[in-house]
Amino acid sequence: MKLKSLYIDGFGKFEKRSLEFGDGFNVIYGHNEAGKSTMHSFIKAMLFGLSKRRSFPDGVDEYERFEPWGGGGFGGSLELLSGGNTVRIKRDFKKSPEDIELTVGEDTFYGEEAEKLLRELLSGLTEKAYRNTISIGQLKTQTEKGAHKELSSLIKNISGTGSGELSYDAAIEYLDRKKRAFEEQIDEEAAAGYSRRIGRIRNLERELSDPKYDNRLPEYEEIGEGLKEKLSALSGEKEKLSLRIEKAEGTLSENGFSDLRSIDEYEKEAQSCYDEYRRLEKTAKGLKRIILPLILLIAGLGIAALSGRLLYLACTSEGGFREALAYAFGKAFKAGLCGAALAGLSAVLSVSAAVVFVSGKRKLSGFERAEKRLLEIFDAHIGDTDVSSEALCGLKERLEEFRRLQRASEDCRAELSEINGELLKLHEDRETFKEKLDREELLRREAESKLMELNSLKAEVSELRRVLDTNSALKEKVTAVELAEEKLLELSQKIKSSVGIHLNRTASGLISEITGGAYKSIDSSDDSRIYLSTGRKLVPCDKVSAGTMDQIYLAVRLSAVKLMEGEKEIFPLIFDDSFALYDDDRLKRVLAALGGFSKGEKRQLIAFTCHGREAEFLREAGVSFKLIEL
Amino acid sequence: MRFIHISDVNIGADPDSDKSWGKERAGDFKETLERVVDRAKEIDCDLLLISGNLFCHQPVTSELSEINLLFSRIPATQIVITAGSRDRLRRNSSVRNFKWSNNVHYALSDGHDSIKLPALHTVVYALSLSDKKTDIGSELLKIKEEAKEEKDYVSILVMGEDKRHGSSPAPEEPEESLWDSELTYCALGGKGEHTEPGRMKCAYPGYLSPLGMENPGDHGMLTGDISIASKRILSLEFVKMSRVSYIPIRIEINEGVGNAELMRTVENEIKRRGEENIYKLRITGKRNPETEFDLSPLKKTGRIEDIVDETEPEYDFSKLFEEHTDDIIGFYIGSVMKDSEEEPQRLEKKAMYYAVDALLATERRSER
Repeated sequence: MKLKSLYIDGFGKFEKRSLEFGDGFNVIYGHNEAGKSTMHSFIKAMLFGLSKRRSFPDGVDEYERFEPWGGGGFGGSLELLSGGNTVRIKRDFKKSPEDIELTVGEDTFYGEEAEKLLRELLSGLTEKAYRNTISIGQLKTQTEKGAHKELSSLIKNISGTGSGELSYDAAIEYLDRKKRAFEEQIDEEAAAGYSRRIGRIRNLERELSDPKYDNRLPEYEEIGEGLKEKLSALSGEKEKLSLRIEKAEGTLSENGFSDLRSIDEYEKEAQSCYDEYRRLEKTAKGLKRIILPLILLIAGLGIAALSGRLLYLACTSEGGFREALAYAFGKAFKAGLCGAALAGLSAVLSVSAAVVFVSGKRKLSGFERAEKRLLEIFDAHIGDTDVSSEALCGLKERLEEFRRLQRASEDCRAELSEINGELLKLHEDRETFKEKLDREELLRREAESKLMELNSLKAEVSELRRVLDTNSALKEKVTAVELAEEKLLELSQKIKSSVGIHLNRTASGLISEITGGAYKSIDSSDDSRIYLSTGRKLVPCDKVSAGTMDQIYLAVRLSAVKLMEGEKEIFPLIFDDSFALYDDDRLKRVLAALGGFSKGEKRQLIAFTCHGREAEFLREAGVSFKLIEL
Repeated sequence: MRFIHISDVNIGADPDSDKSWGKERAGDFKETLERVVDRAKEIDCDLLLISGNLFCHQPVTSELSEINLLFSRIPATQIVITAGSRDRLRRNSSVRNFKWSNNVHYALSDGHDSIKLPALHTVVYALSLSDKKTDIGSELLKIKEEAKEEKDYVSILVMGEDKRHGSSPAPEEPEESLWDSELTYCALGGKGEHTEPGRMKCAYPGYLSPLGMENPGDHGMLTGDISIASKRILSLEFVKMSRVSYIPIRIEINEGVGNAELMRTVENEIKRRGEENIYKLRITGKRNPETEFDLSPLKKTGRIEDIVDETEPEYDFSKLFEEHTDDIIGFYIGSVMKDSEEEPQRLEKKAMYYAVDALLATERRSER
């Protein structure tokens, strides 16, 4: 490809300006502010359009930057030779979108179609490739050491990434830094802490599911209440019973009874007294007790008197005793006998009377005793009353009541002792219950502390889960970086094995040409050092002279261009004030070398410069060139 | 009769423990409940219904005491509490033997509790969730039958949603099955967001205080009036009680936005929406490949829980591919894009970003 001519309708400071390029070496000369960079920008704008996207550091985009100072049209045209075709690109930047008109031979194309065709005609040359490869900016290397460094990184870059601008090593270093930054943010402890806590939570949950931790306190409360109620009911009962017993026993003892037997005996006594009373009552009450002895006495006395008469008669009959006796044997005897018998009878009667009297007297005192006792009994239990069957009946009823009281009190006592037994058991129960309750409360406290631990662990786990989420996001980033590094390595090796070799070969050819065969080839297989081969020995690149170094640098740059071009096309090389920092000697050498390239390869060279020396030196070196003054 | 209905108070939650405002946030849950209690006093509330998850975990006695003390301050308000899915009744629950103030009724039955409040002419059917597999569907049928019997009473159901038993015995949407029942009001719980106003018979008040970004929007209580005579709801409204809201913000940037501008945008956005709120920033859009957002100072501009940087460097890969057909960038892009017909894997794409980014970041800056 060769640039033929351009016409600026309006672009920055230029207005209606046309320019024609030579086939070979072109030197475009202009002092500062003459518009060299505007001119270069115009060429780029014609080839690739004027992008609004890419802005300058000062924030002004290219469009604004190159709007025509004097108003009027904004755009122009560029004519070039590509693949044997004369191509005319005409652009109008005022239109939006940019208006393009592409004329190839007789045919004219517009818009999208024109852009597409232009890309094809430029053999895929992109703006970036243009910038990085065929347009060569100021060469900053002043020192030899710097030059060597620049050269080796250029070679390394080209053979490692296929581009002089892209550095595999720097990219990997950049990615390593990024990876380390991600890794530093990863909390390695979190995962272990998380699983530790999850384990503890599982254990706690299992422990808590043990039925021993069931909350049975409500049941216990009920049981406790029940026990309390039962206790108070029994105590009440006990008190009531004690009262009843006390009352009954008080009544009984007041009345002189201690047990059923004492009541029975008492009743028996009263009954027997009453019976005695009733038996003796008639004798004691009538004359019976005096009359009988009296009658007996009188009868005895009468009989005694009769017996005495008879005895007298017996003694006084026939005067004498014999007679009397005889008489007696007769009448007297009979009378005497009768008298004697009667006297005996009378004595018997009198004795009987005495006996009867004495016994009567004795009977009277038994009755009185019975009566007295009865009255005593009645008095004690009933009060004033006569001895009567009613009174006895009343007494008996009363005694029956005492008996009932006695029996009831005995029953109560039995019941009381039963209650006492129950109370004892209840107290024992309460003690056991209290122990159980204590145990239960202890378990509750245990359960509560476990629950508290569980709750706080769960909170910690949810916090850790967030950390883990962040961790996994970071880990993914690390993985992505590692993947990027892996892939870059793989690609870089691939490039090295194809581009690297190609570069070496191309550069070697060029070097041999420029150095007039002093150096035959370049060897960049060692990453750290570049060697030049004289055919007989390898010379480290940093040991060659500064001049040779510049030649080699140009050769490598050019090789990169050739790599990009392939077989298809030869692009012009554009030097944009590239040699401003070079001293005269160096510039002379470089220009001579470039002149050689231009001639040998039929490559168009365009050098923008603000110095007059380029033209001077080219002339000196006898290189033909076209000088264009701005 | 004036009532307040809240649910999912989540006492004990500590959602932002790793954040600078975590402590304050952890205290919010009880504080919001305190404000509800104060409000109950102010409006002479007769009935406070808490449908589940008063606590966010099994409460221990000390926690119960603290809350009970709070409730004992409003003796004129009857409080009915049911256990929810987070504080569900277990055999070992401490609440089983806890003595509440006499105006508090905590449902402890395995089935449901019917709490009669004669002074309010109301019977409250309270259904606590327990670890037993209670057949909630049939329990609801029983409640509906009971409510039919209690003609002279306002009947109210209080229950939380059982997420765990979810599909099986519990109806998917309890409100659907309750809509045409005799019940006057169904105080439901367990849902993050509150019911839309207008749906008065069955309502969810939403979480009293949000638990995180998954509960965006306003949070608070439902308050309403029930006519005892007609046994109908006269009014029901949502009142915001939580001071804090979780707000996701998406900020779309373009290539021209740098760190400083992004900061300004975020600051303004936070100022506009309230500095007490908690934000999650999602930054999307294309950023200048040369701009690396440093998001850490952003977190100091307010309560920003998380920042997700979804911005993609403004790399036009197909253009880059065209520009770098002969070098490693082109090869890389080509290999990823051509590897398969499908969209490249996320990880692969990410790796490509990193690789291209690294190469371009370290590219020797040539003149333009």
